[in-house]
Amino acid sequence: MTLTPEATQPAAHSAPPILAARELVKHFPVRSGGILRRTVGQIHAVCGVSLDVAPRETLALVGESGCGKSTTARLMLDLIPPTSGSVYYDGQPITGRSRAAIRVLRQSLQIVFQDPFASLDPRMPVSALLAEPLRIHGRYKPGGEARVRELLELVGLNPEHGARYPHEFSGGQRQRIGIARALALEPRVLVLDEPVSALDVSIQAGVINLLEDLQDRLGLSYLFVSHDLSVVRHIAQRVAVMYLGRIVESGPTDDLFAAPAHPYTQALVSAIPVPDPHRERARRRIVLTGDVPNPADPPSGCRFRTRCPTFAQRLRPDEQALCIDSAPELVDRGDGHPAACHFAGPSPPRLSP
Amino acid sequence: MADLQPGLAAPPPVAAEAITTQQRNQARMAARRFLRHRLAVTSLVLFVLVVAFAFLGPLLWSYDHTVDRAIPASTPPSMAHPFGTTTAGQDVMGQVMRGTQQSLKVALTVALISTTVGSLWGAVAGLYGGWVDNLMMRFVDVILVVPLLVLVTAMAGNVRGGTSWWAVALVISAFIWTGTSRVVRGVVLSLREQEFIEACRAMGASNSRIVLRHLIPNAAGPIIVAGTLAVAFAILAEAALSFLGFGIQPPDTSLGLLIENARAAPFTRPWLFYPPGVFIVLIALTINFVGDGMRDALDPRQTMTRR
Amino acid sequence: MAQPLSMTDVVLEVDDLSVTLPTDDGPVTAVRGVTFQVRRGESLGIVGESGSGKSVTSMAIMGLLPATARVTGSTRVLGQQLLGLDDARISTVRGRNIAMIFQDPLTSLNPVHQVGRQLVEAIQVHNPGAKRHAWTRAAELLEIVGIPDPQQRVHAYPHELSGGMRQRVVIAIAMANDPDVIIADEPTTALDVTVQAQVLNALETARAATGAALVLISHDLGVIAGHVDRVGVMYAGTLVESGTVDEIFYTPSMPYTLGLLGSLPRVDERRQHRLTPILGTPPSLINLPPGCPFAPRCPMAQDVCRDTEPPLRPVGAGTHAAACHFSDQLVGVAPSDLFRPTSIDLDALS
Repeated sequence: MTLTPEATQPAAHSAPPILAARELVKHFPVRSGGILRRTVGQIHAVCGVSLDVAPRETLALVGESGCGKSTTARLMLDLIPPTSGSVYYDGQPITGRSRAAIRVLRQSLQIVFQDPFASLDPRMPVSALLAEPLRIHGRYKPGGEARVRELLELVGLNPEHGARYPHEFSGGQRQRIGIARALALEPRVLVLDEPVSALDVSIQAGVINLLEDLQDRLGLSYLFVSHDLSVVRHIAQRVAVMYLGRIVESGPTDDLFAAPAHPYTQALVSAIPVPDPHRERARRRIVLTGDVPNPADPPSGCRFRTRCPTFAQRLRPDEQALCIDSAPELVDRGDGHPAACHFAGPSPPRLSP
Repeated sequence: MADLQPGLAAPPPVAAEAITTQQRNQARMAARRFLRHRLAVTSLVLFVLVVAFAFLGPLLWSYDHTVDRAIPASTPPSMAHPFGTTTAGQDVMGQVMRGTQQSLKVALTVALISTTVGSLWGAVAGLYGGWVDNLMMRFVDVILVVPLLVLVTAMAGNVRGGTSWWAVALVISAFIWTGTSRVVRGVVLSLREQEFIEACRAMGASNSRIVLRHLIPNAAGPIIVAGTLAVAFAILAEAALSFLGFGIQPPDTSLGLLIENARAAPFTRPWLFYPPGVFIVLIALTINFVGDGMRDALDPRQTMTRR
Repeated sequence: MAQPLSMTDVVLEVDDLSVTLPTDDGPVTAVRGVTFQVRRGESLGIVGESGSGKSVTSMAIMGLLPATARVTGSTRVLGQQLLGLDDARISTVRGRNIAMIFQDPLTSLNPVHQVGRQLVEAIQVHNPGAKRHAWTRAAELLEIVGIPDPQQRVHAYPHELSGGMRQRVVIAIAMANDPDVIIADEPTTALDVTVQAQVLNALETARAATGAALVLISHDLGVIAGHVDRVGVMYAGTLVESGTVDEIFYTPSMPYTLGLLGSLPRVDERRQHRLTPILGTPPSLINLPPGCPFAPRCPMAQDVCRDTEPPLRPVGAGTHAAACHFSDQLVGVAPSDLFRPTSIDLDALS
């Protein structure tokens, strides 16, 4: 074990997590072409991720494309089987359970997808879309019709519009339908996979407000997967930052944004454009060089070292050797929250203005 | 500050003025979309007339497809015999009625069997992927390389005197469902990557539910196209089989058989050739246009759906 | 905008540009009377949501719209009218005087040619010369936009490069002929934030190296805030507000701009208050009703707003202009004073 599961647990939360992951690993085989399709490599999509989502809390999982955040979300829902590691719902392991048991669990764990155009069956009217989860679990009769109207109202849509098809709604409205569908079975946890990324800002704000209201009203817990740090700062209580399949830093949102300890988080936070010309001009950006390495062949030791400004500019060769040889654990190194960097600390003076 | 904005004092218009839109019956919407398709409606009317001609015609017409000594041999179309008569003394209209009847039975049965089997086969292969897909599609490949006509010629030797129309339909179906299955598999391969299928899984939907309620309805367009092509193909295939001595044999007849018999006649006795020919074209074309209309009618994304 | 500008100063002048595109549902007037100027070395941001007409505007300037599009008004580069030029004539302007960077670098690069060859082609279109020299110049350009190992990378194919690198190649191609204007249409939308920072840096470098004016089209108010001098806000196919970047962000004079700012979560602020979305959805540009296009979503709307569309007119003394009957009432108003922090969707209830 290179990582203590408790590391990601918030100090303030005493309640046991409603959804937790321990040492999740997911490798996707890379196959050769041809008939035999031999496995020629492994994409290390997720490598030893542990997470805790507390009841009524929003935990954001952030990172750039290809960092494994969406794969982690799907592992948490058991939509794809993990290579190793396990997921716990309400203290019970859900990995490796029987189909029937998983079907029951599915009711408590639901997902909202990114693309409101692709996530709704275009051939079904909205009332049928919302009835689908109820029918699957044999909960449509009695009272299904009333429940569908109630759901539409819950997400701020007109219950009279049940006969319309998805294409007759705008993007924001479709995303509301997706949320309504996820709520149909009265889940306790929603996994939100980039739920507002495809929406225009003026529409996005309404959906964010809706998610906040629903959490208050229904006592939901959210695992909010996003690349948009502005939205994450607004909606999440805690954040976990992923890079190349690993969590590199996690902690309460305000702490993490105010004093990011990992060089990657520092670069990420500094790169987010701010809609404020004065601040934007005054800000000092940490521009990373290079691109994310190939996940089929990740760097040894710390996976960020190939792009890390600290590694390149500040470390002595013997310090660099540590980064190359050993993967840093996700532990608190005196920053108030855990970071997976041997040299974690406030943004170094040479890099800031 | 609030008194500065004239609009702020007014209460925001909310749910109170919501307009009640009528619950729209899905089947009715589909029917309306179909009726909008003028060519499809015309084709449907024509097709129904062809069916009526084939199945009700014999009840009203005084001649059937068999040889009758009262019929003069080889006369061009007249009032008594609108499509003329054959050298052997058969009424061509009576023949076309019977032939259309037999061909329609074969063609529609083929369309039904091949689309059902092909769609399910393709959808299952596409949805499961991996070795299941590999196995199922290799089986399809094996069928594709077996030459239909050679096999049938071999079989024909054992069935003297022909077989019934449904045996013909089964044999043709056994070969052409593979085309549908390949088309449907292709569509499903792209559909299953879409989030709404993943959404179904997340809700706990079973695979059979995903196939029947989500994949096949969304592949309806290509399935209908494959079905209409199957109709045209089946009529022609049936003719070929009859020629090889398998399937419908004289004295019974089919459209393909009639054309086959009139092979030498187009210039000398055109009435023998053109009536069955026109009916084949008519069936193939009208089915095609009806299929187009159905495809549009079943797609809710077609415009004109708002209120 | 109200100030008279000397013609020598203006490199790009768009005057009363309108574009109507035929669709299955009827003609869509995607751009309605857009007027703006860009001076030498200046950067203009055009911000708007999807369907606001910002991309169609740039396509119209470049003459890249389909032949079925009806385009009226005028677009001039260095005083030369571009609208109505035939393909051959406009090609002499494209690339040399005006260059374009699209959102998706993969589609704007030819997948079967080395990036160096595509750069050389761009250089030679307007400067037929020694091939050797063009290849050296290609490597130089790649170096300017921050691509490591430019000598090797000129021989790379587009698929061998990452998204951020491809976009930098596109920027290098755009600057190949020292254009007077670079139009960048959502150049970083498809990219991750850390890569976005690299590409925006490359764009700044390209501007500095060529002295070109920049038209930066984006939906991201953050990107706009940091990279332009002036901003035009588009809504329903027309400019509804324009001014310096400070004027737009600190004293917005059109409720739509104010609403956009209020609906934006910010990474630099603790969560203090609820966001204030703009209710409803933008109007359909097929048969746009009379009046201000924002009126149905505007909390300030009066009868006059529903009857008469306000023109873009000066606000205050500077270049700030807004298309609103009540801009003077927006002084010192915060988004939360005007918009409600609601979670319902008004449009969906009607």
